[in-house]
Amino acid sequence: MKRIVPSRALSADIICMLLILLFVYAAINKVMEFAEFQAQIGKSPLIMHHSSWVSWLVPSAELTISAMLLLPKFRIVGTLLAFMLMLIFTLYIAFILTLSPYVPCSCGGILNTLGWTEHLIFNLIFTLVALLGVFVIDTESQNIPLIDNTQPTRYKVQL
Amino acid sequence: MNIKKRVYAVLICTIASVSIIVTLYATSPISKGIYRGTFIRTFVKGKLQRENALDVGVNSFYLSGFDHDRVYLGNLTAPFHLLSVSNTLNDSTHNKLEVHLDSVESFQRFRLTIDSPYFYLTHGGMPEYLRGVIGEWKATRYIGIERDYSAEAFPVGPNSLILRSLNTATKSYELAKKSSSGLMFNLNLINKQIDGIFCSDGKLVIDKATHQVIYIHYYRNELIVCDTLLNLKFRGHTIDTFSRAQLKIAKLGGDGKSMISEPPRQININAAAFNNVLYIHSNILSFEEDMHDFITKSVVDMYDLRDGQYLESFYIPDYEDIKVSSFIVSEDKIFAIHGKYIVSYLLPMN
Repeated sequence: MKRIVPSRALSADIICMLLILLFVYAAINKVMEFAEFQAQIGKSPLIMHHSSWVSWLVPSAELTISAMLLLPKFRIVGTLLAFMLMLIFTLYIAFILTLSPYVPCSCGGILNTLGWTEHLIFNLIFTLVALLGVFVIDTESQNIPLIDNTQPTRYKVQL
Repeated sequence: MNIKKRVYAVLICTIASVSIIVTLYATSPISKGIYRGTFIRTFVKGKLQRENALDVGVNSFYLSGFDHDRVYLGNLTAPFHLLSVSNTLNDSTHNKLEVHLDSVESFQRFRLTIDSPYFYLTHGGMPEYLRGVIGEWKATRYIGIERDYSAEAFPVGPNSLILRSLNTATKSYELAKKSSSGLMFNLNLINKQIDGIFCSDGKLVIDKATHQVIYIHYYRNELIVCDTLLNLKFRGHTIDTFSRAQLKIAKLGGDGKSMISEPPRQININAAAFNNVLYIHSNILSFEEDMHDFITKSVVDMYDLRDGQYLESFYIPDYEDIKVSSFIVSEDKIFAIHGKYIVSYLLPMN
């Protein structure tokens, strides 16, 4: 019986895809309801006075990292930055849950339905996914473009 | 990139992430810890209605006063420059004050006050008192120099001023009235508690509608209400519980100079009065008050000037993310300075 085992390259692709999906979705969500997003983070005890530039920086960072993950040359840096961004989000939520004197309302989009604890777990998982990404991306496989289908040898088929 | 390098990179990213969150926390107002009082505020129904806002370009303008249809602003860096704004904030005119002075040191200390039909220029460091008519904008000396007594001055009539100054001998602030008949002190009004300089510091406001002089302590909850002859009417208290100034004073060296060694717990930030109502911008969060509201807005407590009773409170929200720095109150409006903006609000009914 033939069994398809995901290779390192395939795992790297899947991880990048997941991160791109999350970041692009999150960024579009923020940009579409920018005023609302800005108002909400302005209420956060940590951001408050920084809300004007943070509200621009977060979606730009999400889109830039997504673009990096698409470009083979920048994939490792991309996953590193994705890890860093997810870790910042995770620490931020951990802070809100533990040290903040009051809990502001949650982020927009589909994540809005999540409570803060669920949100923390969700972010923690994605932080680990990004961390995994940093280590599974092959230096060689970086040369293989993600969207290039002309190189079918990327996926090993084991017997 | 080999594995070792990636491990290092991950470590650096982790440290960076933690530092970013720590920096955000350190610069956030909550890291300082906000003291919560045990007193309770009652808020007026509904939000404060903003009427209009005007960008005056720079943040050095301050409110000097108003007459029936205009508000006047002085400028800290250009003391002989006056900005006159209609009370709907729809038009503004810049005026240059004509001032005849032989020689005055640090002329930037002149402050402009409006008390219709006159405008006044007073110098905090020298006994210079100038007066002119609104519209003519020519200032001339009007009260003679009796002695070398200089102070912050507040006009209470065409020929009289209330003076507040720091007495360097007793190290306490004191109030005096200056008029054409001379200088008269009332030294029993302000009592010092700790060092004098900080614990007796406060804001002096004049209720022009009812001719009262009110002194609000910055670092304790006392307010002193007098008539314009400086006769004490009563001593009142703001709703917080700081009857003694919460200061730790460090003496510097042998010259007797003192400095506040910890961030002072200023309880009253600013004040204004009109028509028997005193408005105090308080710095103390009340029991059960929403902390986020308190951080992003400025709370103003109203008191009845006939008996000192607390009435109600309302918030002045930040405008363009800038806190209100000072405000004055007229018959039906509040004029507030938020950085380079002057903003008018409709006075909440109480």
